[in-house]
Amino acid sequence: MKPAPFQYHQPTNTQELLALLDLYRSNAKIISGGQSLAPMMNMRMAHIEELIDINQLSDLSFINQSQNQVKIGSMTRHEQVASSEQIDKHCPLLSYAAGTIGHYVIRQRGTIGGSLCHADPVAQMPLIALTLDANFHIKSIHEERQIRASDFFLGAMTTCLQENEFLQAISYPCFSNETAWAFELFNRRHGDYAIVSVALCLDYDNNQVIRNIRIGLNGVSDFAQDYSSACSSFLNQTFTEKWLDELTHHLLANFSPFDDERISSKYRLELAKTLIKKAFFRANQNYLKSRN
Amino acid sequence: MNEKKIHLVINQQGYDLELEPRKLLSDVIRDDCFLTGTHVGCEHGVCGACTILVDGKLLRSCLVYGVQMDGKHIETIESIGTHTKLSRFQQAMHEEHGLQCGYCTAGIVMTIEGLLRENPKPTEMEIQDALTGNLCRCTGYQNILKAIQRVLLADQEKS
Repeated sequence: MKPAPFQYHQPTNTQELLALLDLYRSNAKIISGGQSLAPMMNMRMAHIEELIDINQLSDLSFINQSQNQVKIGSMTRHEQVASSEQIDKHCPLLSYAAGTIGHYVIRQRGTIGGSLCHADPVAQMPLIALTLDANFHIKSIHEERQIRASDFFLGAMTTCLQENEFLQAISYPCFSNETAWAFELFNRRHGDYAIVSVALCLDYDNNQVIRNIRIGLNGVSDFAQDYSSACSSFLNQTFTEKWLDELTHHLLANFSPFDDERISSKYRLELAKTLIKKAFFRANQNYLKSRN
Repeated sequence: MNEKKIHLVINQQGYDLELEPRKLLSDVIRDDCFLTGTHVGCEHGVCGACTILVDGKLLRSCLVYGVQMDGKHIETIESIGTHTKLSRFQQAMHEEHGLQCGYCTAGIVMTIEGLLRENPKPTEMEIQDALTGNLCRCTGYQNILKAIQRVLLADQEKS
């Protein structure tokens, strides 16, 4: 469990980082928290030539809230996201989900940007970014660009980041007072990656009619996926059990779960069914509670 | 090779080291600084045995490389208690039989040390959540939880 030899670089500002990325290109790999990358290096699943450590770049660690969005620096640790009052107030689905990542000690070190760039197919952060349609702020030595989550992720462990680019920050839309949310996951051991997880946001109007649904799932296809558009024919209705049964049934037909050595696709579908209903019930209950 | 010179402080003692970048911090602490209280279990961030504090924050020392620690202040199990004067949690672990083989214990003591510094009054759920990151194959955890409760109860009685 020792990594292969590599060259180590420790830029102290963004300009140095950009120059290093531009110089080493595909041989370079950024390490932030290293909670996924270091195990892969230690087990020699990843061979890195030039390791660029961005832990000195403290300006990449921040949480800023403006009128309608929360912007988070890519080096912000999971624990900071999970315990931020600002995020809890304006984007509570994100802070709650961050608190379910791995173990306490892992969250002290792992970063939001690291998790997003690593793009594990069942990790929380890609799921939340896709479900909330987050915006990714990307920078290279020549240009800056912003792209949507759905364009950032190309698939498992693959993003659209070019070899000389890095992720600077991510912005998430603020929730309104009429937004209810839930995050449900199931795993066999606390702290493991979930087998299936569900992220959900419901927008209600004054008459308790559901005007918008955002829902994303992990574990029912080969990457986290946003299924919000599949709910369109269920909008502008009130919450009833019958409505939820039909919606869940409709959603399940959109999934393409896979078998692996431990978990069958059938079991994944059963889990998805249970967790979707749980999420809707929880979100609806929270909404009703907030109105009383 | 491509050794880097770094300076770090472990338990208030300075070390000047010349390290190959790929050397894990856990190996640096044990082999270069001769502090063998930090145990190495899985070496890929699963077991929690190598948990230490860096600048007051919990960290698995097998998931960072020694070269990343230039200028950092590290605390290991050697700074927590001595054989003759155990820390309060170590004493409680002793009294509640919170260990058998002891291999995971250094990591568990450090995890609880870090948790209580951030959160002096953790809930039962928060304690269990923190402990899930440390594998113990002897105790079944119940006695470790009792040991933590013993410390928290003593705190409560004091205040």
